[in-house]
Amino acid sequence: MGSVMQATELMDTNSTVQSAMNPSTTGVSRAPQICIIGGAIAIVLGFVLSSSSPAGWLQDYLVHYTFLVSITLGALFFVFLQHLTRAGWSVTVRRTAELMAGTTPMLVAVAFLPIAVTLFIDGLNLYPWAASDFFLHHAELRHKTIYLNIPFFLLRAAFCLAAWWWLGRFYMTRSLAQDTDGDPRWTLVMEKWSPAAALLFTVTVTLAAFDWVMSLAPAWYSTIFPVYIFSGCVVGGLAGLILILLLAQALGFLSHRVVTVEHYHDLGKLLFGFVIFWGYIAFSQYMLIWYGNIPEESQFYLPRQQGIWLYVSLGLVFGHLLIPLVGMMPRAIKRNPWTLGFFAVWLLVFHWLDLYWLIKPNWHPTVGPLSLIGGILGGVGVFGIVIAIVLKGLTRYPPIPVRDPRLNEAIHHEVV
Amino acid sequence: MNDNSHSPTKPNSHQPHYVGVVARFGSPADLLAAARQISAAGYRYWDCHTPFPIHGLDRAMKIRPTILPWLVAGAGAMGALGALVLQWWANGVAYPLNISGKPFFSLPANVPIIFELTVLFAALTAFFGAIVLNGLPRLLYPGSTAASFARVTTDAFLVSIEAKDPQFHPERTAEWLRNLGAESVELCPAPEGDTTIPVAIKRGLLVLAVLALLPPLFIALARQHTTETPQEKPRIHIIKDMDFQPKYQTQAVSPLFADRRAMRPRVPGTVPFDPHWEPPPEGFLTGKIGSDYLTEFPIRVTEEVMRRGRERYDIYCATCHGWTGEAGPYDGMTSRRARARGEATWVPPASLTGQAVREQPVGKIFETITQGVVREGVYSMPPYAVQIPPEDRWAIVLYVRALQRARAPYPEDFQEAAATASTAGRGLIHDEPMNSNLAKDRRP
Repeated sequence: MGSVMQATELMDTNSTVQSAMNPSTTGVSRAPQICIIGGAIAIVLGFVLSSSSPAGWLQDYLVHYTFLVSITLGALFFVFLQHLTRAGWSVTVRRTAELMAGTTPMLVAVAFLPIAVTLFIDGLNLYPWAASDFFLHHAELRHKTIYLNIPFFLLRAAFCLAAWWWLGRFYMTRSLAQDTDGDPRWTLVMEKWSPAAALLFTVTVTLAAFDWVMSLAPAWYSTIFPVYIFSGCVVGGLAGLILILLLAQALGFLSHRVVTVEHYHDLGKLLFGFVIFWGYIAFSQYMLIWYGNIPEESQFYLPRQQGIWLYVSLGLVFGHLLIPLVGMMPRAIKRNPWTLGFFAVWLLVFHWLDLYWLIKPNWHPTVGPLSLIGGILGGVGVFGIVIAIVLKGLTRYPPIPVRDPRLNEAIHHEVV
Repeated sequence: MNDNSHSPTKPNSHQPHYVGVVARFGSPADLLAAARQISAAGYRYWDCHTPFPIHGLDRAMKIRPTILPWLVAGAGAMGALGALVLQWWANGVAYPLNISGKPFFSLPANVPIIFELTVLFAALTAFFGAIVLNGLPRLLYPGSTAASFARVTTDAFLVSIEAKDPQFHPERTAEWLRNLGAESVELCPAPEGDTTIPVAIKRGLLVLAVLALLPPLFIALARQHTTETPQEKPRIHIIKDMDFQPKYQTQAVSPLFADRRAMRPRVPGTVPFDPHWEPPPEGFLTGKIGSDYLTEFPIRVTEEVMRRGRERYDIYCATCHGWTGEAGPYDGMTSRRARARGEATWVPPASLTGQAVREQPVGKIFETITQGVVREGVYSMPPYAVQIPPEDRWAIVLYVRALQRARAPYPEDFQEAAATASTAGRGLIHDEPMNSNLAKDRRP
């Protein structure tokens, strides 16, 4: 490219970065507080509506907790994926994802405590295998005690939480360090460790999916299940990232000049791709179990094909796959903030419903509309808190990696 | 292809014939500015040529979105619908086949094919659609004869306007491009000489076309010679796999040995040795001695054999004969399904607990399992000698005897049952240890 053009582009970049560093802050500062208070109210109201028993609250809590974890992990995946592929286009949206993955680990770790504590309380704990007399009555599962026991379960959980904490902080702190000294070596360090991060991420997501969700039904197993959970994480993480970016721009936390329609278009394509991936994995799991028709496998789908759960299952087929598949296909949909925002919200709701559908039928052959509405309200509250944390981070730190060597490429990114 | 045949430049037909004009610009920015001017001036047959994609060029050239996505979407939908209809017709209508009790037309089994055909149709349409919509293959582009075109993949930013554009005029267009800031402007003359396809290439293609007909010809011939059925070998054996191996078949001739026998006789002075081998009891393999059927089991009857027999029966026999061996509504799944579908060739299984089979000696039942049942030259029950080893067949016979006795008990069974009921306070128990009397065949 001509040197004249490059120079003008760089000057343009500098002024853009200047404007991004000083976002219009009118009425901005109170948005995180409003989000966090609104989120807390939504969660409490959701619990009141959905159930009246501690056991029911705990079950809803697990859904909300996995929802929070999945959005965090989706963002973390996005961050190291950019370094893994040495992506230049995504630099301006990467900081928001770094904040999603890097400022939430403490919340994720602390929020696990109620689940850990109730493991020791018979009658309240979520996991049937943790009950003291479970293996007395289920001799056929006794070989699983090697894996499904409370100390080992907690050890694995601690490993996962520590790994996510470390990964999230790793990418955020190094990216922030580059903001101050502008050393391109930070980029190389983050790239160098991204394959290891991918491996660690894979192992921990697999463990968490097996432990926290699949072991709710100790007799059932599906080897593709962690992939299913992973695909949902990425859908939730990308939809959350898009929604937070749109909100941050609308509220003035992020300049419109650094994150443009081109970035939204690419994020929308990624989200669209992972919606299909989710459907591919979900159907792969379903078809093998349907074809084999073996009781210990089909017991997972049987309760989910009866009563109201049948309609939730069909709702997922349409809402989580077919409607976004057709709806998000046109280019114009992904380039319009309103339609893209609509599908981000839509997919967040259905991603939450997917987790609800995985977890809740383990206890309830049916579910009332009030309980479902309460649950969704709780999910909205959880996401409100995520928004608050990220918006707060966007004011505390530079909202984009201002001295990233690929920043120029990202600002002038164009989907040809 | 032959662009000098239909140029609309009527007014200058006496002048040297041009197919287009190529202008070179100094930078991407200049090219963008020029492109905006050219599209604003209303030119239609023109293009920009750059060594790398330039942001904003599509907008500057006012290139409208292609219709290719709609073609791809339509082809994908056609693939999905085609796959669905094909599978519905093949599995549900034309050739319904019972596959592990699933419905003939069941959507989950069809989804992979639907997915694959959707992707295939969409991908092929995208590939060939892009080629066709881009006007490819185009061996000679009007601008490519210009000298500056040689550097288009390194550092030249070019605009070409074709002569077929209604606004094209050799001198005026060139002058106008110069005024737009072009560093150099070249008029491209029509290529000299013959632009038709050389005769040698035409002949080569003809030879190739004839050669391409040979494989289908061989296939047609191969089919002609082997129309009789059944066939011993596949009509066309393309993939040999392990069908033809460099080894001797049984009774084959070998030039290696003086006696020309590939199968070698036992070496003199040796004996075959198997420490566990002992001759089976008489009738163990056939169920009869001479022409008389065995009336007693040639094996030791134990509870373990009974359990084995029940297990094997449930695996091999129950699919047709049912769990109890009674004919009619208690038939196995295969039989019930065949009757429900009104299969004309289906022979319902015989009742194992009925009088006829009850009166058969054990050797006869064994023979039936071994050889199957032939009725009017067709197996109404296939032989099971291949699937079930002899000792298991005897175990099944034992279990069949138990089923028969459950259906038609001996008088002492009632006394025994009454005694059990009075002591244990329960009725007949299905899994009670077997009466050892059962070992003896006690036909009336």
